[in-house]
Amino acid sequence: MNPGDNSYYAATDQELLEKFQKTHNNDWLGILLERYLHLIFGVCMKYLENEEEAKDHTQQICLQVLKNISRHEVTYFKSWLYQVSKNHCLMHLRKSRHLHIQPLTEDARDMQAEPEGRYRNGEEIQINYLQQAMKLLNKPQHTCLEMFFFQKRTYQHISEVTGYSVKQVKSHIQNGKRNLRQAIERLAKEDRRNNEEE
Amino acid sequence: MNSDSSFIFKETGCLTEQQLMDYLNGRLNEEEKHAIEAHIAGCEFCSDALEGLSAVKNKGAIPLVIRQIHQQLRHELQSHQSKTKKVKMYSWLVALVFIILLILLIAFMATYFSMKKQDHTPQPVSPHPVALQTRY
Repeated sequence: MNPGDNSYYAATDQELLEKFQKTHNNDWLGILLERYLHLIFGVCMKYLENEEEAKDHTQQICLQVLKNISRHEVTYFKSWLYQVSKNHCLMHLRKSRHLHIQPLTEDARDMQAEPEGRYRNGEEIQINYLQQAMKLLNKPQHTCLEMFFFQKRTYQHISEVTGYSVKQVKSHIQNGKRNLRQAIERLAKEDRRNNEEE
Repeated sequence: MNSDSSFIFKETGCLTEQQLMDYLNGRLNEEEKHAIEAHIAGCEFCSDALEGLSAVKNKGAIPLVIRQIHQQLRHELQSHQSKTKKVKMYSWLVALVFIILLILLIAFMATYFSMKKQDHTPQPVSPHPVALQTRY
């Protein structure tokens, strides 16, 4: 597999990252970055709210990655790239608007985290805790999650039925999903502890 | 209710540019739309990107902008590559010059010290000094 041919299309991020780490050939990194250019641009648009600025900063983020990646131990390229992009935009905002933003080290702690990684194969999912955990969510989160995951409704549909805005629906689903995971983990932990005591 | 929660936390690949554009332009059916939304419910990167891209006024221009950034990145990579090659070439050249200078220095030192040694070596005194004989 060479960066020059097209066989890398099927390669995973991990494989490309390993190729780069072994050879230090920036072409591998370029291929990886190209995969996420539209997402980096989108993130820049979200924070900078200006198309020209977003375009420039997408370019700057790519250069920053090319320059600095060797200094970091990157395990999950996608998560790392998201944090780099977000931090870059927040730093720019802080410089230009003097906003108070959490220090970068706070985010950097999570840089290597792959939030869904542990659940990739459903191995650690505690099947019996789902119903219990769902009950622990607040009403908006419960309603949105129920309609989204179990009735397979879209954000728009949920918004129309519940009266929440699409943005609120999205937020309830994202936060609800996170809380649900935490609740499942907590329930599983308690259950384990009880079993050990018995 | 399905008691298996793995489908909620199932990880899917990040959204492609085409998927994002189709979603933003309302070109997807309910099922496809739901699949995209299920992904963004667990992926901050795609969620933020979608939010950002939805704020672009002329959505039709997004692919063009991304293509421009793509070309700039390619250009940057090429110049980065040629810079690296130049730096490598210059470092080899410097190393070569250094090695040649080192060899010359060693050769010079060796010659110098061997000559100096010869100068300091006392001339062997002949047991039968040859006196200048004058022939008469």
